Amino acid sequence: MSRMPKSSRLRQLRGLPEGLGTTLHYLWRRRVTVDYPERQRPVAERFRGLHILDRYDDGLERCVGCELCQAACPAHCITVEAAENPPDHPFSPGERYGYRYEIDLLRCIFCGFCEEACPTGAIQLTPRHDLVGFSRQDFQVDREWLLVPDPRTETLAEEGAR
Amino acid sequence: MSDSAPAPQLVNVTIDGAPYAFPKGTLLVDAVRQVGHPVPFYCYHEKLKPAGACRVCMVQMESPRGPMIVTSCTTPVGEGMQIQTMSDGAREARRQVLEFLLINHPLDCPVCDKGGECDLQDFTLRYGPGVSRFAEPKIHRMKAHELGPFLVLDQERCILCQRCVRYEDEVLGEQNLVLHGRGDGTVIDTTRGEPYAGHFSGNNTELCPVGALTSQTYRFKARPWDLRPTPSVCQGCSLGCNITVQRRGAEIVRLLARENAAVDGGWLCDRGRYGFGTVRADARLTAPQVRRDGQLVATSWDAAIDAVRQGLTLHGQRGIAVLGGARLTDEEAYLLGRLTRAVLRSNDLDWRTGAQRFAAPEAIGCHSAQVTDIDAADLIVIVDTPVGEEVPVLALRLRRAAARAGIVDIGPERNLTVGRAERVACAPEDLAEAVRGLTVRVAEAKMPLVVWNGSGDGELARAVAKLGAPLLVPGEFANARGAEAAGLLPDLLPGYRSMAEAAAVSEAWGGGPLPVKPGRAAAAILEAAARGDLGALYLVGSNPLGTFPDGTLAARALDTIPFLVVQDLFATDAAVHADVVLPALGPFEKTGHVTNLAGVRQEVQAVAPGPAGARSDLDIFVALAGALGATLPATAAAVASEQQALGRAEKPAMVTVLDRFTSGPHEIDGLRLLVRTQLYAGGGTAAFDPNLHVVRGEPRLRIHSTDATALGLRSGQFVIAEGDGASMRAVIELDDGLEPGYVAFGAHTPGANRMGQRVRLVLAGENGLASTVPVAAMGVNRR
Ligand code: SF4
Ligand code: SF4
Ligand code: SF4
Ligand code: SF4
Ligand code: FES
Repeated sequence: MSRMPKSSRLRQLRGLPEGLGTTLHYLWRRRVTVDYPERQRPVAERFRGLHILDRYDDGLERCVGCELCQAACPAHCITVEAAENPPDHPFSPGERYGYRYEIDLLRCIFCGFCEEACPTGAIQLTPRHDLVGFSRQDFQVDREWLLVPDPRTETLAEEGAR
Repeated sequence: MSDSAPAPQLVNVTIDGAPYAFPKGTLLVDAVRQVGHPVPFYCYHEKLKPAGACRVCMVQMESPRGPMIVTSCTTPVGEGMQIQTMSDGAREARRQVLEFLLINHPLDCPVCDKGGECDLQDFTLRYGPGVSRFAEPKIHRMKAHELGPFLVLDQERCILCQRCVRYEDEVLGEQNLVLHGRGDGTVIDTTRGEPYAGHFSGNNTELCPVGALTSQTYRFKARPWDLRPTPSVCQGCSLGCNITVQRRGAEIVRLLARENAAVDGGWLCDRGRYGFGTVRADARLTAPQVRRDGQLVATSWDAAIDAVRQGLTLHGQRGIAVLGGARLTDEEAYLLGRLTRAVLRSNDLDWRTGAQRFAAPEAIGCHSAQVTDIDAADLIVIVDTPVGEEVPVLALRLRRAAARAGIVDIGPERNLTVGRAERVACAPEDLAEAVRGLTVRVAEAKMPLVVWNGSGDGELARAVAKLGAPLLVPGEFANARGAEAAGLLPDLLPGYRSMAEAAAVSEAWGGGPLPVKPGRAAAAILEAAARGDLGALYLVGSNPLGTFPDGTLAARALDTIPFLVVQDLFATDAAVHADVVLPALGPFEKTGHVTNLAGVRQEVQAVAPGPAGARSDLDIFVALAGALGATLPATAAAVASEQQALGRAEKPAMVTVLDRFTSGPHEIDGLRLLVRTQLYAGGGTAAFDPNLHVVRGEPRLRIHSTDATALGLRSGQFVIAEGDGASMRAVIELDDGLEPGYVAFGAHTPGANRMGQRVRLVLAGENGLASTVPVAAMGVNRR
């Protein structure tokens, strides 16, 4: 180990009160961090976070499986497959619904093109951004994960609880 | 057009300011497109006559009275014409037409199968108005209207271009789809609202420029941008129509026609277009099976190949015979020949497990005709070949020819069901006589052509050969011609070599002696097996129980044979008798070549992996040879080059067509029983294809209406045909194309070839049980 010249040792000593000064200075200023996740910062009104698949007010799914979101997605992370609506319990209005809907959220760049392409307003990006998981599979979300709760079954469940 | 035709007269036209010359008679729409100016069109189609129905193809033409807007699809080019394709007038006219087309259009694009490849979308985007001024409520019509087993119609999306109507009329001559109503109530539907019954409905889905006519099998399966195309060839029949196989991921979702003017003319039949369900059929064999303690149990490939080796060693000295091969690729057929002769050392080898006796016209001393010769022929003789059921797309060409050429249609039933033809009704045994009767007419014709499926005896073959006209042999198996050329015959080596050339072939096969004594043909093999004179039988993609004319003999043979190996896609009724079952890959799963009925060699592509446990026939032959201590070339390419190097014999030998079927004519209640090819009845794969399940239906018994009346039978009634050998339930179908005195079952209908000599019809009761009254009690008796 080489010996330091005297002058630089003095400079090092000077650093200690300088640093403590910075600490003391910020100690009395307003905090910018929040107690995430108990408290959350508000996000911009048009923030693009995690997706949902929306429903109409009567509970029918909006997605008709047209694959336009899949075609628009620059990250190629959406997979849609359509099927014929069962006539006695249709999933969506009309002949066709999206029976398979998957997004690989790890590949998604949250550009919102899917939302823009969708003719029925089914796929939407919400302000939610808690994108966490323990494995890659956790980020491959499917139709069940994406679909918002069905108001019909919701009400039933609530009534049952009462 | 022949070479000597004078050069067509040229007409000078100015298009968007540039001068061009076109042959006289060219339609403006073609002229404009040829020089690269886009012009939209809906009703116009190259293969249909111009109709001028949609008015979207308008261009501006200068005339003495000022600029005129004309429909380019109905206007031929004229000398000095001045055409503007993008003038304000032309653009405005198209814009208005498109606005009109859309006033009642549902704008279903997100749920419409055509979305992404729809001319209405594309042209509206390019030429149409951005917004509609039409605020009134739209008229609603039938949606998702199932027209037939394969076709779905959305009447709201129809733009009434009438391509479908004109195709039905001009190409099929069937008028299955027509216009109903008038004004804004005009819709497309079947003539009387009945289910669409033709064999060519699928072409409508390619013709329809919008999403009005779509396929049931493709419904909501994919978007055009999901699809990966592979060119291939249909293996549904011996014509080999060219197709584009479209896959989404690993799944085949639809087949499209890929026009080859020399083969298919751009059309497909429904069996070809929709018969790709075998690839994912649940019934596919997925593992080799070996019989242990009387039960077939699944096993590994090594164990199965070893079981075959043991069985062949144990029973081989009493003879080994191989039947089938007409559904393989050329390469596989060739390898099967080499395996049988060089490794199994047997000449008991025959692809002819059906009624067809030969495949190449040269094999009986005729000239091969090309498919396009039909378009030029002035006399076409159809000898007892139900062309519409056997080679459907070829029948379309014959229907078109019928408008121009003389067609002589010989046999106990009408072979050409649509189109003008001269009928020569005769019994199966009188066919040769009837053919001989045409000698003079054929000799006098400028371009005669004979169409015969090769099912008959040596006498008929000689009579046909004697006519001296080019011959087309539309047989029942997809690659019979390839199998024949590969030498899957008891007395011919590859390339139509006689047994005398065995030395040359043996050399190409790496030395080793080949058996030189000609082997036995299919009938003799089955007879030997039934007698107990054969040790082992190897069925490769063939099921004599279903296809051999004498099914009783086939059944006895399979019952008696000590060791039976069945190599197939499905557990056929032959596989039930097997000692070893080897699961094979089928159409869409193998790469190689197939040879069509006119000798055109075409490439087929593997587009699906097939069941995990199945192997290609080629791989199986190689493994089998390996187990028996021989090495065969292991890739299709290597086999093809070996086969090419071997080539054809300088003087091709002829196929022996002497078999006279011992079973003789069958009779039902004094009516004669015919077993005729029927498109969806079965065969190797169609019987197991879930896509075709909807059209297969009940076995049908066709009968002339006068006979039906005499017997008190109604259309749709169930009967049980009871024979000595088998009985079967069938539904009566009245068919006046059949001569009186005959009844006909579809070939490959289980049991149809096993009925024996005497058959009687019994009415089936409500509960499906036979009532006790034989129909013959009311009897007609003929012959
Ligand atoms: S936000 Fe963008 S990247 Fe993510 S799924 Fe939608 S289109 Fe794809
Ligand atoms: S989410 Fe929208 S764009 Fe995507 S398939 Fe469903 S309907 Fe079509
Ligand atoms: S026919 Fe064409 S324009 Fe009409 S709904 Fe279908 S895709 Fe859209
Ligand atoms: S169904 Fe299709 S092809 Fe037929 S008239 Fe309508 S748009 Fe034209
Ligand atoms: S394409 Fe010319 S009128 Fe339809």
